[in-house]
Amino acid sequence: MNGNLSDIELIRQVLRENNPRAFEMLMQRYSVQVYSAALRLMHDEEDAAEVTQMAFIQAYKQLDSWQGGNFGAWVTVIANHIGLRLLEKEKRRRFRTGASQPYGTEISIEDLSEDLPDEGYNEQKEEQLQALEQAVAQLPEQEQQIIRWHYYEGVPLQKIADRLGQTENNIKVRLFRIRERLKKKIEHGKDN
Amino acid sequence: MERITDYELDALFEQSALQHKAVEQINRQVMRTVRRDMRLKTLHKWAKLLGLCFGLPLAVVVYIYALFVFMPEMQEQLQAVYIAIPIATILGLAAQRLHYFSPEV
Repeated sequence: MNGNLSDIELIRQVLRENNPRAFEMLMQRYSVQVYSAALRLMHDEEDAAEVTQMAFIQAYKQLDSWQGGNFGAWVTVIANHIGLRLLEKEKRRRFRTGASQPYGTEISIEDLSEDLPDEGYNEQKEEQLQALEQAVAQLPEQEQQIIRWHYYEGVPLQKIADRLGQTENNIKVRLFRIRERLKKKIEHGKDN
Repeated sequence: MERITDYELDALFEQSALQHKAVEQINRQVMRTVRRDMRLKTLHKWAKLLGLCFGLPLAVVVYIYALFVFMPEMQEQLQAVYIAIPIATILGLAAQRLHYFSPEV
């Protein structure tokens, strides 16, 4: 299937042709974005994974109510709602066991975001990770491929060189230049 | 300006790769649910089609058969009910279709 199809075309394929591959492509496009948003809210990887999963399933079930616009942003909003609901539930449970606040009392988002289990969560690191994702996404297709093969799939440089019909040294130089560009972009993101 | 070192960039790539693995796992789980749901939808669609192709003619045949066999022995009021029920059903279904009709998918 063509990877350049727009969100709306993919959604049409899901709704009209019941095509699971189209939904998979949509999810691959936006799952990192939704997961990052969920992680920022939940401060816990397991909870973020659960929220992301629930958000995509809910988005699939409500796909015919999608009003257009950015699909990723829409799923992120769903994920935020689910995450806030889970946090509120957890907070109420703690209030009830602590008997410090009666059930039915209004709880603000500030209340929800305090006392979060943020073991292993580092906001600055998370921002840098997002900046890296964005910077990689802005690279030309072949450079993105080099990054994916080398860093995400662990393909050795020699093999990448063979695949692209170039020498290993050539790939090393390209990788060095890509890294320098990525560093600059992340630093630029940090300053903003 | 705070510089990013090679070590930090490598650590970021490592963390990003881990996050990608977690996301792939989530995608697999979601797709399992989506595929199961789509299979059910397809089954439902075929069941509806079969029902329309065989069930509807069968119901009409049974109705007409009953009309000829039992109608002469029925009271007039029962005869009216017997005729009104299928008409009401057809009208009800048509109204429902019109209510939920949308030119878009």
